[in-house]
Amino acid sequence: MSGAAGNRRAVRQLPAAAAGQADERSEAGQAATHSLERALLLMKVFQGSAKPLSHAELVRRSGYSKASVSRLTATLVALGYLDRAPDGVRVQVGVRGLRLGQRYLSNSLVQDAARPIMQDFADRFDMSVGLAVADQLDMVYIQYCNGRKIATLRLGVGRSVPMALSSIGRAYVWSQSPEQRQRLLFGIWKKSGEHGPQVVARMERAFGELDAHGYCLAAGEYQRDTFAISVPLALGNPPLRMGLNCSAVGALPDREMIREQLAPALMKTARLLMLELEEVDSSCF
Amino acid sequence: MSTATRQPHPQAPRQRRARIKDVRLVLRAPHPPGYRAGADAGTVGESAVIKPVERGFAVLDAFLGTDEWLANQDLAARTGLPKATVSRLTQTLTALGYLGYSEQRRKYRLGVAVLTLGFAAMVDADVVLQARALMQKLADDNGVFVALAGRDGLDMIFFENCHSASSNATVGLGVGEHLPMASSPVGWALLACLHENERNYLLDHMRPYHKRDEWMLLRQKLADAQQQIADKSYCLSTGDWGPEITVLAAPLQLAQRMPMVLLCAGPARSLSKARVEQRIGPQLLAVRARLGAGT
Repeated sequence: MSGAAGNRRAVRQLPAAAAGQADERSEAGQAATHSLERALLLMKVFQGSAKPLSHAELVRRSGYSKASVSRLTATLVALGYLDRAPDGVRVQVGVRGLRLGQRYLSNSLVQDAARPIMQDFADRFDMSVGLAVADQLDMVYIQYCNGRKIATLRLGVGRSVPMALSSIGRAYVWSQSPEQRQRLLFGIWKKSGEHGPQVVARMERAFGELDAHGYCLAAGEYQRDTFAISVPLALGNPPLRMGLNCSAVGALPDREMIREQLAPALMKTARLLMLELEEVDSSCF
Repeated sequence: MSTATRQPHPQAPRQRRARIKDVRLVLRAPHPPGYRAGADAGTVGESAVIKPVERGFAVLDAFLGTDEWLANQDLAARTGLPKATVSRLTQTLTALGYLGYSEQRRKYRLGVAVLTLGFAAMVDADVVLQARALMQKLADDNGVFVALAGRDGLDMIFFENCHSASSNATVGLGVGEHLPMASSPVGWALLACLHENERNYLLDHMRPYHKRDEWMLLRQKLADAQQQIADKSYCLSTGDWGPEITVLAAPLQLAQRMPMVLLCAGPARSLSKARVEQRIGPQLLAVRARLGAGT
């Protein structure tokens, strides 16, 4: 992230007149990866939803200029990653990215190994169980199992949640080395703007819970009427840090139930996952 | 994607269903020569495309081939881009999590961030979640293959596949895989439900990929499918997708969603006309109605 920000600054500081023949190649290179980065980020503002967004909404969510949103949108539509909505004005996520996601998941060695272990927990407690890895300042679910009766929580494989606002993200940040934790907290603080202090304070409260009990809890923060309990874990060899959570819609169970049953069972699930994937090359996750 | 036929596991039909990679019987219609999978109908002029973005996505697309791990020189060969450009792109894509790098192999593979390019929106969209259980029941009750497909450029792409526990029928395509729109009943069902302008626009772009007589035949079949859909809301075809394969396809149009097609397929001998008309056809339409779609 910081490297990319550096590139951007460098490009901006280059006066147009000074961009002579010699500099042209490297400058063009930086500008090139910059526009790619922006296109990739524009895909993220859809937040895994099929809902069409207007041009104004894309400008608002991405923070890019109207002109660059137009150009990026036109490119992404031409490449099939975005589609014009039936109204011809708004755009929605196209089907192109589905193939890449599908390929990533079919390559991943975590998918199949983790499913039975997670499904067992999901069935036993009738909750959803998710396994997520970090993607910048978000957590992306790479496996997600629903209990038999639950179909309401609108999350699934490939969805992402902000690291700062979800218990699974907080558990992940907590599990990092002190330096890395500081780096992430700094990024979150900066990204949250005026809410930075509050957001980080809430995260630190979760760290307190994790220090004391090894798990943390969030209720009604990211999605209303839902609660989630999360634990950090590291899978594979060399160990890759991730987060594991269980979540459900409805009222929070009482503290005792969480402390005596859910949390220990979730930690046991995490241990089973670690054991199952102990020998697996984590570069193949 | 490994659509290659694998030896079936006779003991475990239930597990097989979950692993769409394990395909039993490949019935994929052949691509016409010169056909590019996912080729877009080109809604924007070439000049509007930002080249570096196109190149970045071309690097990602190169991983859709058979090899999981690719080095910079492999990517250069596959994309036709200069090596320096490729290494700059792979560096950026790796820093952002779209690619992963293995020091040991000195190669790249897809990273978790590619899931943010629309996978969730397509696969876990509410309609697919809802459809999954209904489709599976339809598949199990009738011993047929059931799928939900949409359009990607000039191809049909599968969002969800359900295999019946008791039957061998499958189309040999995994979720996220492609089928040319022009030559399959699935594509005809989709074309039938589009607005005339859009249909003609797509047909104009498909035309160059086909020989003249072949094209006339496809147009005839499309017209027939359109007529069937107008009459009974789904179209039925035998032998167009693979020998001895019968396909029922019904367009599915939901508010705020791209048009889709709900289909069943199975061996022709087990799908008699009477059985289709009295049982499977109405059940297919019932599933469609449950998903909240009119005609």
